[in-house]
Amino acid sequence: MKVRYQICLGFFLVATLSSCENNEQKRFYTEIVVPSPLAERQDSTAVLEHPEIFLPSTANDEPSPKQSSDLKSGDNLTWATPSGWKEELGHGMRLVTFVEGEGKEKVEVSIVKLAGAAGDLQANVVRWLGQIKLELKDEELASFISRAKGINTDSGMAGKIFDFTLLQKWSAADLDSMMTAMFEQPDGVIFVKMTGSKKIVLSEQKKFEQLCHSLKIH
Amino acid sequence: MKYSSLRQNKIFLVLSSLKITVGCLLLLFILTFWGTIAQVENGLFVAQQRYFHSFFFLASGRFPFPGAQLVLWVLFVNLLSAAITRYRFEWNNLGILLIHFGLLTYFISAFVTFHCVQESQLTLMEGAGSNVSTAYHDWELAVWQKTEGNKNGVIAYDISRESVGKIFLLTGDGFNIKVEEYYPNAVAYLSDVKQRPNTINDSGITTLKSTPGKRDPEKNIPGGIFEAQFGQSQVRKLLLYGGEDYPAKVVIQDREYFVQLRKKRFVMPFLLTLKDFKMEVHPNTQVAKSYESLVQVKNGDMERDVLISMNHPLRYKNFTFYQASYAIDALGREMSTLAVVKNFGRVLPYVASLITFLGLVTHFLGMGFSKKMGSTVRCSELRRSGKSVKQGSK
Repeated sequence: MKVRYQICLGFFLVATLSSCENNEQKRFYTEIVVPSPLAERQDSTAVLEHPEIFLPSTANDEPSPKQSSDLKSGDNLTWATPSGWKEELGHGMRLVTFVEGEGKEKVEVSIVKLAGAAGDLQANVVRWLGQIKLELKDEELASFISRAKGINTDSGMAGKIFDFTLLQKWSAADLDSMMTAMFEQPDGVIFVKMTGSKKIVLSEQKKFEQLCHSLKIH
Repeated sequence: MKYSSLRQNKIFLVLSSLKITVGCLLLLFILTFWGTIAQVENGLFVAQQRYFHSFFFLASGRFPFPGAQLVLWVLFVNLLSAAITRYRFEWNNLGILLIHFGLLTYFISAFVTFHCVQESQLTLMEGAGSNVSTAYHDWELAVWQKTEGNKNGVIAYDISRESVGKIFLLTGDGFNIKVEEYYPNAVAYLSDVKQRPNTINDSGITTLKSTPGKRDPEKNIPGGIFEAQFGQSQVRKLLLYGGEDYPAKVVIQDREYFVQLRKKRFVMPFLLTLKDFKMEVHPNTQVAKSYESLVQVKNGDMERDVLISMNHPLRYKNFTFYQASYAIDALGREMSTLAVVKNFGRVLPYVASLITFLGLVTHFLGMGFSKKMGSTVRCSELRRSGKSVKQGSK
């Protein structure tokens, strides 16, 4: 083969290979997504993209916690109210209740301190699950409890946070949801509970954690 | 042009200089070292783009420095020129020629891999299956109509910052989407104040705020404002965010369309289902010792179970599936992530290695043979002159 033909062949090869780069814009394809039978609910139109994404509540910067004037209950517990939350006086077993928003956008947070027997961890988690109409198998429940996030308050109290939105990943944003924290102390158990729609609970997660961090026994 | 004149061509003679070869090899050494160190600071993707995939980059933001792509091109031309000008196509040079042909084949395979390889990933929960893998960095605007079963006929457009102002023509009946705003990395807010009035978002997102890109671009989540048009009369504003689990539903003239901003999908001509995932941890730790995925490949009537584990990928058609990662959710449900590489030139490096190996064998055997032949000839010459080999050696 003559050299000029060899060079032409070389250029043709380079041009052909260069065209392999996918510059195509519009594409048609048939997507097959077979949902797992383990999935709690997975719409065939839904694809899990970023399971850990967090949607902040406001376009403002990180909400700064507003220090409350040491609201003291009979149990000498204090906390710092996160900005934007309206504080209401406690009633019944509740030391305090915080609310924000109205109607479907409403979030309610309460702090309860129970002296003595308050049920074990599992019993409380099962009770909370029932409140948002969820039921788990034993092994699922054990797994959920074992994966609860640990938290240490600024004053050194150790506790656990149970994020029930993790169980509702494939559920609608307006479904009832909950986030709770449990601090076992020698003289009782402190519960912090936030209820609202999944969307609102997720959006208020940071403030909830701020509140938990600020808890202090005097 | 005759071959002999090509060998005397001044340009080829200059290009075949050994100084260029040594310079390029030195630059490659520096770039490899520099790029490897830079991965710690900038992440794998950015370091790859800057040091290895570029023709030039600015060192310290000021001084232009050649990137590996330029150096490799120069080295390729240098080797090719050397092959044209220096080597004599004779049988006793066959080994050397084969070695250099093997090296050129390495360059060609690198070129094919760089331009034609398709890298993506596939995350499946146990029992789930899919025929599409997901890109690491590229995003698409996908539109489909709800169908029965698990199949969706998707129309997708690649989307990037350059897409702003463009109109994506979707269906023949006049349903189009215009990209009004696009942020390659954005944060979504659920605040009460809407960024744009009358925008639709099924997840309750009201505002998008552009933020600087992350060190690892894989973690960037884009968002944008889109205008769904149906003919000239009906117009809907959509706010789409890459982090949404659900597509937005647009109902136009009793037709339901699903629109989603999502990572680009690559179609595989078969269905891959994760049957089982197993993970072993080192005793008394949570550190993974080994993990493996039992998958089923279904292509038409053919069904095959294959075990994919670390260093034991599945190769099927032009696709290679590597065990890349795993996840266990709050309920203890296991998910396996497979790295999917489509490369029709994946055989080329093996071919290049084989040619180089054959070249080395031919060269060394040839050398040994000619040495032996040389000493035999010397011996017979000595015998003819009346001296024994032993005498001669004394």
